[in-house]
Amino acid sequence: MTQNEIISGCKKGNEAAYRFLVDTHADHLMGICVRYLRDHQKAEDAVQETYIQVFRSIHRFENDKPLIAWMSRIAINCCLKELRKTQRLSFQDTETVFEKLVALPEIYDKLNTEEILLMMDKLPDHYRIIFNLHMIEGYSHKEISRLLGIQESLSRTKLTRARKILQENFLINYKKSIV
Amino acid sequence: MKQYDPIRKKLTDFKVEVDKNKLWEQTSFAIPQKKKRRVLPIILLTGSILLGAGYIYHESISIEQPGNKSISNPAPAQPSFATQPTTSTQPTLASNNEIQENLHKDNSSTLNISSSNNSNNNQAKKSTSTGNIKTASSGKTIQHKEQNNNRSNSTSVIVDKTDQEFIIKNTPPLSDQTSAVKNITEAIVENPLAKHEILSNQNQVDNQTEDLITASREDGIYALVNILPLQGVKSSPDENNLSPEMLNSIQPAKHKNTIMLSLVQGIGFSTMDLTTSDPELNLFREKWKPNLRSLEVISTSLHGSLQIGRSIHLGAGLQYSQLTSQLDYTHTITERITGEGITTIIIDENGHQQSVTGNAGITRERLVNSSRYTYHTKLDLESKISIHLYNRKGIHINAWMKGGINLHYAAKGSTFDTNNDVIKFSAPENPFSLSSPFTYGGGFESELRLNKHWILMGRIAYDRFAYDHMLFHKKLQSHHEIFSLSVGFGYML
Repeated sequence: MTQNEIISGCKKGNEAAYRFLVDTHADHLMGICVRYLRDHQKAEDAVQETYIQVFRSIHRFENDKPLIAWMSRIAINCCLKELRKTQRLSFQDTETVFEKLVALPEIYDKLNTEEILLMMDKLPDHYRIIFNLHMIEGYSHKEISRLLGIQESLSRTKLTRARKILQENFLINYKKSIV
Repeated sequence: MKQYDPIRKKLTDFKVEVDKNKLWEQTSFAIPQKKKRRVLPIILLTGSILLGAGYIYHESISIEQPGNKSISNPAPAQPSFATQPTTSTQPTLASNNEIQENLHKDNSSTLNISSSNNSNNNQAKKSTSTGNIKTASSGKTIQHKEQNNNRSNSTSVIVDKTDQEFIIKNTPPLSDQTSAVKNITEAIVENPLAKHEILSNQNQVDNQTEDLITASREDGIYALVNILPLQGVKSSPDENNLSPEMLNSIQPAKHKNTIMLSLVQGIGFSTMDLTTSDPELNLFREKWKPNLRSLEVISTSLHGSLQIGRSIHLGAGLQYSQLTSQLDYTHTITERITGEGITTIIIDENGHQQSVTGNAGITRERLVNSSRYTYHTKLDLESKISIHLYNRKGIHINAWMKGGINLHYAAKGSTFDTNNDVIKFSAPENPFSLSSPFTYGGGFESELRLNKHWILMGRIAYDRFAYDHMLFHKKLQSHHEIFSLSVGFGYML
């Protein structure tokens, strides 16, 4: 089924088209939700909420954009809503990071997905979220500031700090693996 | 940032397996339901209303027209009788048989005549209708004919209490009659049984004709009087036609099936109830029911109605209504503010404590009581019947009932979701659905005649409105009972 067929099927109320959306994209959306929420149960709830929103608003979806990107955005919004609800999404604008970051591409290449996720899990929520939004999803700082209701400069600061922590963790992990 | 490309690639492709069947079960309820095809019932309802109105209107016109014609041309038939030749044609077997059969069937003095000749059917029907006398009280039909060589006239009176027209009519001269009518007439005259019946009722008809016309005038009974020349039946000079005095003495009571257009604007209030068939949802019901209340209901209706008889109106039209409900709730707002205070406490090796004051971030929580409003709008196609209860001095009081079908329903505002959170929604995201597309209601209305065309209207109405909460799989319903007071104007066509 092509994207056009799925969209037109959904707009016509074809149940098979909706089911196809679940079968093909649920795992990917679950991956996103796990990255943001870290809790499987909450991630499942977020995926469920995502699909409910997708089903209700797919008739407004413009077919010239990638469907999966649109669904991913909805999933991210659901995760952020969940984080706000549990008050895990708080930002303080008092800290400034001056440390210089060191590029370690060879280390990143050697890390597998589980190790990366493990490192990221150690990040505080607000660092992890901004890192995910900017480095993985490709959101600009302007978009992040609008999405999270923070200043752009704060988004940059948080990202730099997150990358610094991650680098340190990656290095420690790398050194352990060498030893 | 390219150094992060491997990480981005790995995390973008990261997937976690989900139980798809379970997920489908939990989410499939949110699939928008296909809009029910209501085209057919709407077409049927509209069609039946139009057909009914058209039929009634046609009936009223068809009764009015002959009377008007005959009154304007009261007795043109007489001169033609002298030139009318004696007919030599014989009645057809079919016609004759039919006449015989009818005569035997009816033990009273009814004589029905009909012709199977299609080309002359209309004239034959006229003969049938005009050759009888029916009394208003019993429906008894009396035939009256007299023989006078080859010329004849037959005076007939049909009285129908249900009809509201009083019409006197002279039938066309015999020369205009078709051969079928001639044959039938001849058959009647030659038939011994018919002749006997005609003669035996002659005097009775004379008396009853006069009585009926008099009674019609006095009692308001409407009558149709026809004068039909029947070949070979003798007519006395005073029976050839009704005299102009007699014609003038009969006052035609003009009554039309009036059509009225009405525009009524109303305001009302409604009760509100939240019900559920699922015990698990009782918690939601108990939590939210005290916080929900119904506010005003505004409605506008545009109807066309047709008067049937003296006391019944049938109508159809559109009603637009808007119901507002209020949802009260308390929620917490968490905000981060900067305030001055102790930021650091330093305790030295001697145990001395020193506080450093500065600006620090503070998390503040506020409890806020909010009210959110939801607007339900709907457009219904309705049919309505109203019955006069009181009619005096230009004031009518009617009882009415209506039934209808919903054409459009929309809602926007706020509601609670399955997480007990209050959510806002716009019209396209309407989480409600009407429990039934059909509506019904009733009430009383008063009409005050202002002039020939305009009527001031007041209306008390009862209506019902119920919708399902789709977020709860239609297991939670809101019910409104609406009481409204409306005023408006009617225009009589």
